[in-house]
Amino acid sequence: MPAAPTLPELYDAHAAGLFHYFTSFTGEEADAKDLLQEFFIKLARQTIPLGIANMRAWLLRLAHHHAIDWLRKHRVRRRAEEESHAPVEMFAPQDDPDQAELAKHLTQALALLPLEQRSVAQLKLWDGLTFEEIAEVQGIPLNTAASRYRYALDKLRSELRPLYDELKPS
Amino acid sequence: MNTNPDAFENDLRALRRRELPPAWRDDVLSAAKTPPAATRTPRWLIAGWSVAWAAILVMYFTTPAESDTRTRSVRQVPVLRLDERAALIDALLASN
Repeated sequence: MPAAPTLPELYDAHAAGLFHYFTSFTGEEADAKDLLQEFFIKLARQTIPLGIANMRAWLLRLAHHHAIDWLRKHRVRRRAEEESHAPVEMFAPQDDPDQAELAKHLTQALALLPLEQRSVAQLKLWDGLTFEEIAEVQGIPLNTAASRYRYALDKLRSELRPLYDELKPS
Repeated sequence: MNTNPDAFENDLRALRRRELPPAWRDDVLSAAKTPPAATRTPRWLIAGWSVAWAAILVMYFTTPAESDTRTRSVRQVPVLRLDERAALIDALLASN
């Protein structure tokens, strides 16, 4: 049986995804970085079981609980802040100007989604999780995961429609 | 449940998320490797507490029980008072 991955290996493979997931809760880069650091501190103090089939999903499930705890502590402050801050830049600089424009508008459109839909959209679109895995990560029924994703996608489609239709010929 | 992605989903998925700043790696991993503060009780403090508790136990077992002396002193008080009263009465009778 292979050995459990080391902390640096986990960081290299999953830290960016975890950070973006935390960002969907905090809406602030500094808070998301703090959450990421606290998460790895917790991870260092626990034994990582051998034979985990999907390490990304396993880590995201822990990260979800970690983010929910954070949210409970900071709910009042977060509500006050989330409307006053520009959304955290989520995408890498794109070479194609059309892609860059889409990325910019998508970041803004994602920030407008309710947290429940935004986090599910992230897990599905960029972490590549199935609905079953998303349901397990967030502790919600499978149908809820699927419907949250569908609502999120409809809203993104509606927000981005004018730009997307303009860019789509490619 | 239709799980086949459409073109819109595929276009969103194709956007790469940004990487983390390289400096964060050291920040996060060095913080994770630092032992928790609670487990770093200084040895001198542990030794000090051990000596203090040992001294308390030695004093506890070597000091006589307090209840005997208290009983004795409680018994003595009325005796002394009776003696004093007797002396006062004697002095009074003698003066008359």
